[in-house]
Amino acid sequence: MRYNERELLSLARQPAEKAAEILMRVPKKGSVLKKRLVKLVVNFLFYFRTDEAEPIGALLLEHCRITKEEENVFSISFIEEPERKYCFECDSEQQCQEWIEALKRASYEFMRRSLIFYRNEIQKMTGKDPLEQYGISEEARFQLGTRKQ
Amino acid sequence: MKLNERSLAFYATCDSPADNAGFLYKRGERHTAYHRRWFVLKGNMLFYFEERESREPVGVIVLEGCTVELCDSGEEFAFAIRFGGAKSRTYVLAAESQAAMEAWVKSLSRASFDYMRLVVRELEKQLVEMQRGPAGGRSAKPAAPEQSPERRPVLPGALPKENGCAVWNNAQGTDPPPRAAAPRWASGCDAEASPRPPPVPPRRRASSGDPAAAAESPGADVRWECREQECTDVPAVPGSGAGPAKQKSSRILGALAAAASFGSGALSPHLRAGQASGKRRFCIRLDPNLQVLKPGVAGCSSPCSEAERARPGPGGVLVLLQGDYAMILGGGQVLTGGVLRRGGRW
Repeated sequence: MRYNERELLSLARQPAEKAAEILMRVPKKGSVLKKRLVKLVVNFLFYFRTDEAEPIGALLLEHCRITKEEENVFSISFIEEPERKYCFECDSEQQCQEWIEALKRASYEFMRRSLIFYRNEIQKMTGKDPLEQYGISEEARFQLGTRKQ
Repeated sequence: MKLNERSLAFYATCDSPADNAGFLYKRGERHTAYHRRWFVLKGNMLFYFEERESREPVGVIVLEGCTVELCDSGEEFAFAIRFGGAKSRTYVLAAESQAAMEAWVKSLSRASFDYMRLVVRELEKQLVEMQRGPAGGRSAKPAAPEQSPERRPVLPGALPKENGCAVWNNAQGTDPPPRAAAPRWASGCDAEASPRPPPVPPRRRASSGDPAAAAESPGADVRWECREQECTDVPAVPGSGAGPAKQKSSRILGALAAAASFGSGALSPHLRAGQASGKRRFCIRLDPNLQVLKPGVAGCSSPCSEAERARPGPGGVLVLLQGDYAMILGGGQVLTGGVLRRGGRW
């Protein structure tokens, strides 16, 4: 699949929501935990060799599942292949929890659901649609009930 | 760089609703022939397929940091997705109708993660403030969104750091630009009455993470405050050598154009001849009557008369865009103009 790699690389250089050196294992046969610089930018998780400026890879965090595994460890897997897991071993349980929280909220889909939720709540409380001032209240992607959850 | 392509392909083809979908003509990179492709926009990813029934996309365009502009490529209903980097490719696309083009430009302009995040934060803030009000303090916490397996979206303790860039122009800049709430979109861009003269704007420093600072109240006009600018002489011929002052104004115009890329209008020849000089500080407002002309605005036969009718009050500005070139008019005269810099930053 073609993609605009230059822009993705540029995105990888932007200030991150969260970045840390974490041990990471990819779901390939025989792969082991390796220390990586892991960087969360918008809905992408980039991972770098610790001394390199360009990422080895990127994961688009949509339709994924973040799971707590054993102590200090969490994994990312994608809905269509739940057994293929990217594993991350953190330095501490706290770091692990922080990453899980951050990653769960990092998807566009999560934000969209939040937006619909807030919109609905505000509308219930005030009777007014808060999206009107943005002129986006008619957009299909923000409608309640049209989304498959 | 590796990408989780399998998951990407799945995301593209699964039956989660798309933000937009349809046929567009895509201009090739090296050859200028257009190919008709089926495009699907999900979130900040624009996928394209050879056929509508294709099981896997041919490619995807990651839309973070792009600007979307109408373009005069000679092809009807054409628009471009541009990125800020030096060697970035520009994707030229063409729709099959005016309405389709406008719909795509609109949805692509707002596809970025940052835009979504901005709106969500703003709503979250509103909701929290409402719940803190007379209805009983913090007792009513927002319940989790339906069917969400995640924790409830409460106010994060510390907002993650933004890169502080304007909504449609995500390029990294050295100065943190002003944060603005999502500007209003005029559903019809005709100016009825002249806009109210704005109150004197306070000099506001860029503050990150608080998009609401730019809006006075939910119903108020949203301002993009700009820094002190030198007004430049408007070049008689657009694109003629731009000095530093012109470049500065070009940057602003770039950001405005990105924000207002939904509309463009033909410039009347006599509007180009105006001149203004001297230092002037002005505040650029985007307000619901925003005077960005659209071609064929109902009731307007010539852009010139539209401009005259829309004469904004002191401080209000009129932005006219044509392709690469934009002019800012205010108080009945041309304040500045310039060539939009590609991927211009705020």
